[in-house]
Amino acid sequence: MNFLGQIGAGVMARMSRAARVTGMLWGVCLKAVRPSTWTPPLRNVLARQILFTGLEATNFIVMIALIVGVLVVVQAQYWLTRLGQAALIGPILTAVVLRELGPLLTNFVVIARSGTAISTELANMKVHGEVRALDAMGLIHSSISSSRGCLAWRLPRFA
Amino acid sequence: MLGVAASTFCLTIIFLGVTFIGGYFCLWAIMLGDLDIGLFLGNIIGSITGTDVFTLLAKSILPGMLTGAICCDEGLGVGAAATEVPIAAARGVMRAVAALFVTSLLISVMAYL
Repeated sequence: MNFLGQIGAGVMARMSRAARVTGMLWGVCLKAVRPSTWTPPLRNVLARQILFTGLEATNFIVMIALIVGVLVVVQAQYWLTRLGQAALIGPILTAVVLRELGPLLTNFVVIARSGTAISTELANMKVHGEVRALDAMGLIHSSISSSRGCLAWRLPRFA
Repeated sequence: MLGVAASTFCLTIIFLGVTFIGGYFCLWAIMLGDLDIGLFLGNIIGSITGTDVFTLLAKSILPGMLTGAICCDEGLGVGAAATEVPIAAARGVMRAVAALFVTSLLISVMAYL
């Protein structure tokens, strides 16, 4: 393959991935706005996902938040007081912690804990043929090769 | 995906609360108690605008959903070999982190510039 062909193949692969992810997101959003599709297994798995991703990560998030609070708030107060601008502590903390640092660090923790867990679980299911078994039992709407996105949002455990 | 997004939002709220309150108590300990918590928290809450709330919602929920979708996609993209599992996990994390930064950047640019 020549140089231009390699560039084109890379672009096509990225666009294909983006389309798959977008399709998956769209499928989940469609399901989420239709309460008739919220089957008991799906609710159960959603609750377990929130339990694993949210509740079990709370202790770790609290520890990181305490450390960040000590570091950022104390530094901000110290330097603003030295500059004679102690009244700006509110806007500075809002800009640094609320707008940027809070969501970013929380997402990092979620990716590190749950992102790897989701990828590993699904990959193991695929390798051991569990996904094909679900497909054969008619629990999955379409085959993996034709639409990974459709598969992912139809599997209740990944709600 | 929805579970990850909802959890991320709730964890972000917990993170913010603990950061501000923990920071206040550390300041209180250093300054030997001459800092009013009402004044401190009022100063922070008073500086929060509607754009900040929208940004917080968007930056919590969108990357959370993207993390779920990307990791599902990578997990389902493996072949038949078990050696592909850790590779898929690592690739999923890298792509999710990249998506997180890009999403945060785009939301900040749209909201504040």
